[in-house]
Amino acid sequence: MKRIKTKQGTFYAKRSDTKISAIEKKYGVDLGVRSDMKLGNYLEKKGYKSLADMLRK
Amino acid sequence: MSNFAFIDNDILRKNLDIAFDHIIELLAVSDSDFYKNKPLLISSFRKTIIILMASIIEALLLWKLKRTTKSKIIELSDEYKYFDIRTLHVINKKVKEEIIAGKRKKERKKLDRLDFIRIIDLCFKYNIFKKVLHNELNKVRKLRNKLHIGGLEKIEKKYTQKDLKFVFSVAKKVDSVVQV
Repeated sequence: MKRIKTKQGTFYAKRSDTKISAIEKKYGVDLGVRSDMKLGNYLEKKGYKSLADMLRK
Repeated sequence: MSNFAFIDNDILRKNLDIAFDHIIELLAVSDSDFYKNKPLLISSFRKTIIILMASIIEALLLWKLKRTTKSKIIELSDEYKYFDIRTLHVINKKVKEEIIAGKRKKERKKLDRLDFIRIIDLCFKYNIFKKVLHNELNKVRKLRNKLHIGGLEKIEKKYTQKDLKFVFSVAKKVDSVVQV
């Protein structure tokens, strides 16, 4: 994931290829899908295609 | 890379990304097994997501409005400032009903001070979107306004996946029209 340096520090924007495991690890949750699934695919699977479309590839 | 790379204002772009990331993570967490048997909390997560998405939509429209009008100040067609008011005749003293005279001037407002409903109406006036999206945006605005719980007359409704899908679909349309 590309990192953006700001005056306030480093900021990461979520991308569609973010792995679900990253979110599961961050919050200690099980999202009930394969951990290597990409975030964009996960959102589409859940029926949130519009939201997935707004994520940069 | 930002999800709002087309935004030329660094601060706005980063704030949009922060809000958008917040939405995605809230959505993922609320869909987790941990909240499976906590429908009220899932509904509350969804309400927060809707409020955040509405704030993104509002910000995108305001950004587009500023670019379209090329101004920081706008004259509102139906809002006036009234001054030098004089009473000509008292109709009913008890309810203070009067015939008055005075001066009025079209009100000019800073674009940054406009509220959501005004931003939606002005974007429509400047042909940024069509009537269908105008109506949908007002539905999103009404959902967003549920954040003012002090004025709610009923106990909060359950926010559904359908509500989320609707707000996301409107956000996607706004995302498309502001990039034109």
